[in-house]
Amino acid sequence: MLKLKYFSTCVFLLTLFSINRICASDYFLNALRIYTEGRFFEASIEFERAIYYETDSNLISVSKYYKSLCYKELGEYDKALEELAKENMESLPDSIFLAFGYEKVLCSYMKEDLNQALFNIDKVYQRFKDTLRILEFLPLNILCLNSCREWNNAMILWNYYIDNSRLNDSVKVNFRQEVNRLYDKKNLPGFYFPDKAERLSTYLPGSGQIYCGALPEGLFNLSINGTLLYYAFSQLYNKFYFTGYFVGLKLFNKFYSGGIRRARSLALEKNEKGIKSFNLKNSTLMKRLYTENVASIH
Amino acid sequence: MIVTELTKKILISSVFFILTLFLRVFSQIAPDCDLKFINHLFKTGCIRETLFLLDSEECSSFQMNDSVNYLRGWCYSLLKRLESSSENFLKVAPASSLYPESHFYAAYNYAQEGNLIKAEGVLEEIEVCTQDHLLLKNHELAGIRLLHGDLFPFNERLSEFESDLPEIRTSSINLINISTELSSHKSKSPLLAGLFSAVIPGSGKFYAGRKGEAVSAFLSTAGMGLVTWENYRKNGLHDYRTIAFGAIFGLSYLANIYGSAFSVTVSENDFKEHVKTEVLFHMRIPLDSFFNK
Repeated sequence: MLKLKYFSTCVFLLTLFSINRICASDYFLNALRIYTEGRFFEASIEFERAIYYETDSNLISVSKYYKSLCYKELGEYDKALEELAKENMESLPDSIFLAFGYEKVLCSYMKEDLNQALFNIDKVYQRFKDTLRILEFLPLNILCLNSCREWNNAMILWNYYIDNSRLNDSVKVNFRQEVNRLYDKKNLPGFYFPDKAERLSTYLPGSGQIYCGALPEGLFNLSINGTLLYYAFSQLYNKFYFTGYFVGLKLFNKFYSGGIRRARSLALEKNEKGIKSFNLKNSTLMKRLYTENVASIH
Repeated sequence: MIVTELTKKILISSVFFILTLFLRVFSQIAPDCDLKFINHLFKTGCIRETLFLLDSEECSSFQMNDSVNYLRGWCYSLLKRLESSSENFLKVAPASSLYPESHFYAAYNYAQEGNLIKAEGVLEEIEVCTQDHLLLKNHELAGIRLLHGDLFPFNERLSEFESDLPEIRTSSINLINISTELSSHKSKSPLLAGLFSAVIPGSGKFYAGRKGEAVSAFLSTAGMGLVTWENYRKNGLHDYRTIAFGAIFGLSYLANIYGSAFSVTVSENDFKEHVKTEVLFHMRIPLDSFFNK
């Protein structure tokens, strides 16, 4: 009878312990369910709950990973990176390390922090030297290199990416040709030096804008400045000194200095636009390669 | 015999397991307000998340719970939704240990929002049970009097608290300094500023304390005046250029008068805002150190 009592106590405690384990993983599963329903804010809370109650370090890591995904979906890249930084990556198993690394790179890229993105890519490459496991990082790496205008390095990675795909040789050749065409000098986005644009507009109003490719805007600026300068000097010539100075020259000064500032901002704007459109072309090609790769596997 | 013993054990194990599992399932159907986790979220700075859980269905039956209202008050306060924050703080019952803190902060939030009558009302109604709380209450009331701009009742209040508490003493000295600054402050008249600018363009802005703007206003208005005079002298009164520049000068002159009067109003508002910020700061310091925030 006494034996039976001890046995009952043990079973009770064991059951409680096992049920508690079920509860902790329940939080994770519940969070995952909410995440798949697309309720990312609520999911982030539930993943935090899983992190708070869970004792299994791997499940905690996975919860942190998913929590960062929630923040990424919400467009809160800083918070996503903060969540990912909470985990000591070196101690993680390879699969989780890769997932963390990828999200870190992606969020840094989305935040337009290219140096951080490239740094994170390097960290992953250091751990997986000469393996095919880094293949999924290549598209992001290429986009980052494009943004830094490192065309040659980006092309090398493109070729490596194509070589290691499972496409047949003829398709690979086609893709290589497309990449070569994309990175052809005449197809690369132009770079407008902001200082040069500013200097040009200083010497000749509107020329900075024309240098950046905005011909109508440049001509308009030139004509406005020319008219005002003509007005100022004609007034001064006719001995209307106050009118020439206070109306003509003052207004000319406003338009002239505004034009210089505009030339600089236009150069920066055009550079950014060029890179974005070039990366969009790259992304389209990457998507096509990925789709054909998947199709060839099946 | 052995078989019977084993059957018993299996039966007991099964019963326990099913019972606990049932309890678990039941608890999932009716989830409770996990205050432990909510507190953790709050402490880690996840304010929106904390508020989301406090407002969720799970916590709806805990509406009268003092901890829930206290936390909700803090969340709204940190999100700068001061009215809601005060409302939630005020729901904390006098029996709760969180009562003094909640009600003091409710009053402070009302004061911060500019609702001084409500702030004063809340402070007057706080049931103080210790001498320290009474001193803090007097300090906060004095601050509100100062925000009202009533210097005489403020000085009266000062005599009521000769505090030995360092948290209050320093802040009360600072409040006294602010009251001295307030009493010595001479308000500037927008009408006078307008008059100054009508005589000499820009001088009204100089009077308002905006020297750079004054020089700029003088140069631009005087410049347009000179242009108008020049065109009048050389082209005559009925020339379109004289009329156009004259109209621009007239507008600039009138705008300058209005601008000067407006500058004085802005300067006065800036001074009031500066005093308000200072007073609120010295009302907040003792609160935070008193309640270890």
